[in-house]
Amino acid sequence: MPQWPIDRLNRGRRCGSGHEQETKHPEGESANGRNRPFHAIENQKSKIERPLVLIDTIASRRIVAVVSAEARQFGIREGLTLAEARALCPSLVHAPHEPENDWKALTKLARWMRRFSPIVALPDCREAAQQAGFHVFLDVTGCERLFGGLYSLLEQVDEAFRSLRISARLAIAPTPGAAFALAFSGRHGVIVGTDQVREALTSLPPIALRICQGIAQSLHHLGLETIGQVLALPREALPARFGPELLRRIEQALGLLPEPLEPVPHHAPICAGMDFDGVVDSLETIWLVFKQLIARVIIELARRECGARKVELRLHRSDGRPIVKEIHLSRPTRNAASLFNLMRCATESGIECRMSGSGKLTCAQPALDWHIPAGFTSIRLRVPVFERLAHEQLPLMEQELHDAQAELDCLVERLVLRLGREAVLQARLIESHIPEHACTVVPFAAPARNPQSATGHSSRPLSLLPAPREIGVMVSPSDDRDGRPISFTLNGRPHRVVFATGPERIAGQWWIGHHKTRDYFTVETESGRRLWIFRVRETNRWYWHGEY
Amino acid sequence: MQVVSCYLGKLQLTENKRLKPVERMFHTGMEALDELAGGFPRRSVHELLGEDGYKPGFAAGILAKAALHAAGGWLVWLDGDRRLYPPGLAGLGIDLSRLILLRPDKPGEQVWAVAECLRCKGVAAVVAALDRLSRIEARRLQLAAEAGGSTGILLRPAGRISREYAAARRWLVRPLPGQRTMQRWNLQLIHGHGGRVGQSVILEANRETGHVRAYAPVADRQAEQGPAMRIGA
Repeated sequence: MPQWPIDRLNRGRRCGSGHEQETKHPEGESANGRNRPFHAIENQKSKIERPLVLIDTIASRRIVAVVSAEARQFGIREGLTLAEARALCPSLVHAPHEPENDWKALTKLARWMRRFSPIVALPDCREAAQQAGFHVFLDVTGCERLFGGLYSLLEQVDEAFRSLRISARLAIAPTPGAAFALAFSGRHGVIVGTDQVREALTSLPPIALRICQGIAQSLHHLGLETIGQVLALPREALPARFGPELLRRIEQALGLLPEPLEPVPHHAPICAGMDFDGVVDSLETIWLVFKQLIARVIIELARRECGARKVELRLHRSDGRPIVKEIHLSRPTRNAASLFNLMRCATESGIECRMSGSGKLTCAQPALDWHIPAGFTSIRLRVPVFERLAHEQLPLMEQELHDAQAELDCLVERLVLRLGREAVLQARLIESHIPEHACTVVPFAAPARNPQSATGHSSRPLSLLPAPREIGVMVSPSDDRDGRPISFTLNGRPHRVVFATGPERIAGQWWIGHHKTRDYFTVETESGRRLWIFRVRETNRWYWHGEY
Repeated sequence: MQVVSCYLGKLQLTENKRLKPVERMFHTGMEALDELAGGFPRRSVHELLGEDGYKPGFAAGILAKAALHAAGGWLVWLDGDRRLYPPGLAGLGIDLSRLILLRPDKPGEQVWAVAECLRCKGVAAVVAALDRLSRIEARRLQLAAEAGGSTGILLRPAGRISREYAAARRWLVRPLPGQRTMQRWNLQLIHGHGGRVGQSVILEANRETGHVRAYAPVADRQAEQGPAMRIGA
């Protein structure tokens, strides 16, 4: 595929406008492309035919990395700056070069190509793919029978690429190296038998052997312009002269050295679903369906020795959009009971199931204003993210401890699911003399193996107001700024101070602009309540901050 | 002595219960308080009532610490009004790395969250301030504690609002006038089987040394010098 980055970008632009799905599932494209109205295709053609280059930005220089066929006609080559390319062709369109996305799309394409052969292999590494052009290997040994012969197979693949609007050159040869060399040097649609490999390769340039640019350059300087000339050289001298790569590639192309193809791994989605004849609105039925779906998913998870990390639940309604619930698990699990509990929590919190007297459910989405007294027509359960579940060996006597920990993890997941991540917290002490900053709360995370026990001050109150509240305080002596509190007014009620301990002087963080200094007092009222109040020295105002 | 038998290819640990006896009661270590309460049952709910908006956080912390010490596990503190100050809790000697703080936005979720936590085996104690409970909700919390094995400590206002309860022990906690370094509370047992209902005990905390002790209220408070227990690390 000489133009893969350009084709990918064009496909993305075409599909990106309305059909996000199509980029993900190329099989939808062939059908859609044909059914699309004529003028739409015309518009696209005009857009596509504008010369396009992809650019890399290196420091402040924008350098052309990939050139489309249209742009190449204007004399634009790789390595020019964008300004130079613009000078050659004023109507040039440019886009950023994204090798990452190219590779991802190539993986998707390879997965889609599995319809032609069970073994589809990607290039060895990303860099090699960029250098030599993006390509995909299909091991079609034995597959031709299903497609009515090799020619028919080749035609079908070609047709598929054409309907995907990806320019590709195809070649079938006994070795991947030979097939690549043929396709790379523009022999589109050739089929080479086992005994013709050597003849087919002789007239091709050496760069088609997937060798690096440096070796190709030195071969060029030596006047070796075809593979045939290289093959004529004594083979023992090649590694000493050009390094081991050239000989390896030659032998791989000729089939003297094996080159196994590593197939793209096969990932079947883990999902289960159930369609109902009519609308189901009974909560018991839905929970029963949950249990059945979970049982089916767990069988598949157990077969792969995996546990679910993310579960997606889709409840399709007869009217309106489906309700989608995502459940994130803190660690992989395939425990039916805990999964069911989580799903129940998720449905209860989000859909707000309310049981009426007859056991029917009404759902009201918080985002919508109206209540939809309708049930569901189908339920889908999917496990998009799963992880290998390691078998653990437990000490004999610590079974109970392990159970308790596992149960706690489940509890935290349920709480997070229903109350939200910001409501399930963990407290950490921080070295700070400012009372508000001496402690922080963070969302609960899995506990560390060796928890450090933090020590606090026994002189600190147990409750602290989120913000200090101003109170009226009488001090003695009354005109003194350093006076001690003798009574204060709280919620409109006067309280006499029996005694006050303090002051504990806490200076503000002047280095970040808090210049005020507080004098903290612990005061006990007649009723025996102990409050923590402070006076701001600069303003002489009193605030209530906490209670013991 | 542990007895391990292999039966049907499955290792079974027999006499497990005898090896690690599950204590039904926990103790605070303060004799006067334990005697008066007749022990604190673990798998149940304890209520601490406060008057005039007073929330007996200190007494709850002492009970939670004792429950944690007895069972070993996590402490869940439902902090609905976001006023709990963890350094103060650490000052009581509670390990903050074993604390889960719950701050639900909706008050309707509080009872559900407390029941879920009580039902969990890994949680040793749950402290929550719940004002109004229906009879069913109170019963549900008690049943959850019985099923799970953790101790629930509820802080509730005294009066008609906390009429419905299903707790094993109910205490009325009143702050008492103390001294400069001593803070005192009066704990009156108002409900509890096996305890001396109606009597009270005085809880005293020394803010400087961190010692806390309980003694029966007598005419001359200074005469009674019970053994003191140190709080804090």
